[in-house]
Amino acid sequence: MDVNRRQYFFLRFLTILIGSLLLNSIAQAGLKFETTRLELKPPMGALHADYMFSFRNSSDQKITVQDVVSSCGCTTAELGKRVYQPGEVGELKGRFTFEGRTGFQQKKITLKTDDPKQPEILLAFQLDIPKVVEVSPIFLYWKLDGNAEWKQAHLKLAEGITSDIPQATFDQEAIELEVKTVKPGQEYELKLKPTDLSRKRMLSIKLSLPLSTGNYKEVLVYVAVK
Amino acid sequence: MTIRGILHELLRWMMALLFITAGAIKAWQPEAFWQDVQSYRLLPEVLELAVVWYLPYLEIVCGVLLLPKRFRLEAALTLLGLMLIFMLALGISWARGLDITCGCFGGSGSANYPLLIFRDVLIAAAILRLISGCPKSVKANERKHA
Amino acid sequence: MWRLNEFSLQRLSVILLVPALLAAVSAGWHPATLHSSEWDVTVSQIAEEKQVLWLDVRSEADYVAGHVEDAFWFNPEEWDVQLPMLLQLWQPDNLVVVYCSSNKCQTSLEVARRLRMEVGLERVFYLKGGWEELVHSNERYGIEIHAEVKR
Repeated sequence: MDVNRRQYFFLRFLTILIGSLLLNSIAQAGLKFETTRLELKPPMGALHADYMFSFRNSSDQKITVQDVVSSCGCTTAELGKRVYQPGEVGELKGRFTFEGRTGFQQKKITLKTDDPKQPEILLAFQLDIPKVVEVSPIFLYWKLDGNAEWKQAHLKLAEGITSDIPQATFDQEAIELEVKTVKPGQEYELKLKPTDLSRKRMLSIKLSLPLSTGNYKEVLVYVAVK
Repeated sequence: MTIRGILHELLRWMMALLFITAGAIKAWQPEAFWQDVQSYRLLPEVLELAVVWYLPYLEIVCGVLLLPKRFRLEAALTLLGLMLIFMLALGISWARGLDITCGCFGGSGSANYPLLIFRDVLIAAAILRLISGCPKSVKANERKHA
Repeated sequence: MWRLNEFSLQRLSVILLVPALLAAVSAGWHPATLHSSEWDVTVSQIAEEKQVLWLDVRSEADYVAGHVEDAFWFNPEEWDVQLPMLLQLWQPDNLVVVYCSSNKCQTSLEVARRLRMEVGLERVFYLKGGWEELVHSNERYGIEIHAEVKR
């Protein structure tokens, strides 16, 4: 075989190989999801958030979803069916129940399939559960045998929600506490200090806020002598 | 144009598309690319950041410059150099037993080193083929303008 | 076969310089996207610390298989339950180091942020490289790990 023919065959071989590699990387997805990460935005006061992941079987084989596992018992995940023919679309739906959680949350769902190219698919959603009440900081400490200085924690309610002055439940022999109003119904300041700094302690103050929504919100502030 | 010429053009366009796409994805998500670079544990942080910012644009520019005749050879040579560096990095990671994929979100399984290296060898072979196809026209042009 | 002459070198310079300019513009467009050293620590930095409170935020199965000696397994999904336990353990001199599996895992950074911003703990960082980095360099820096399977 002369040099030119060898080069020609090599070029043809290379082009086909690279082309199939490119095509393969596009086509190999199997179950192709519109997105594998969702940002949820529940309204203020919501007790749960619903999510949905849409996907399509973009391979040329039937794919069976063998299992759907969520990272937390607080998250449900349901598929309409388990077997998806080539080209078929599907939806994974579920609900994340807050169960008192607030702030940034991130949950994962794992799909296990019989597709050897994609045996596991990781999905996730995240959301910021709006805090009805924000206390900052929620942990205050004093040094053992240190100065019994007053320290503050700031309590602020979310917009649109108000509360009367919070009721505090705590060990009154161990902690001195004053609650001041900064902005009526909206912001309060807690001034506190332990009464005894001569021994290590871990205490908490339970604040109950009667909200304008008609229910109570409880928040814990942790106090320590270390 | 002969069939050989058509195949050569096709290969050139595919390589250009490959590197432009690869570079664009990295440029679009520098945080994700930084995590990939960090997982190789080859460079100090300053150099890692330099690679994260520079490499995607180098790939894009070289991919684009594969297309016009004027810069073709130099672009192909640069890409060949890049591929050799990638293969070296993969080889070092493989030898060190590093798992360069995580699977926390979106990924799954460990790095398949033989497949990754084979893929890079293939791409390097394609670039070499493009380089061997370059000089005749470029050298003639240079002689003309010299 | 081919020789690099002055035309080639000029073109090569263009090829190498143009991406640098583009990168500089892009870096200016995304300021401070990547650098997060106010939140991370490396294994070598921890080696100098005397009082480290390790938080392992990986799965329970991973924790059981191997973890830093005395690390506290912290499940961020049970934040309200686990936080008081963590606060019980915490001491004012502690450097709190949160680790998950590797750099690609975001959980450790998120937990570190919450502990600093919401709880008010100072000196809380996430470990750069995570567990993956620890098993590779723990012996060098004298960090004890309890591992059933060491890589």
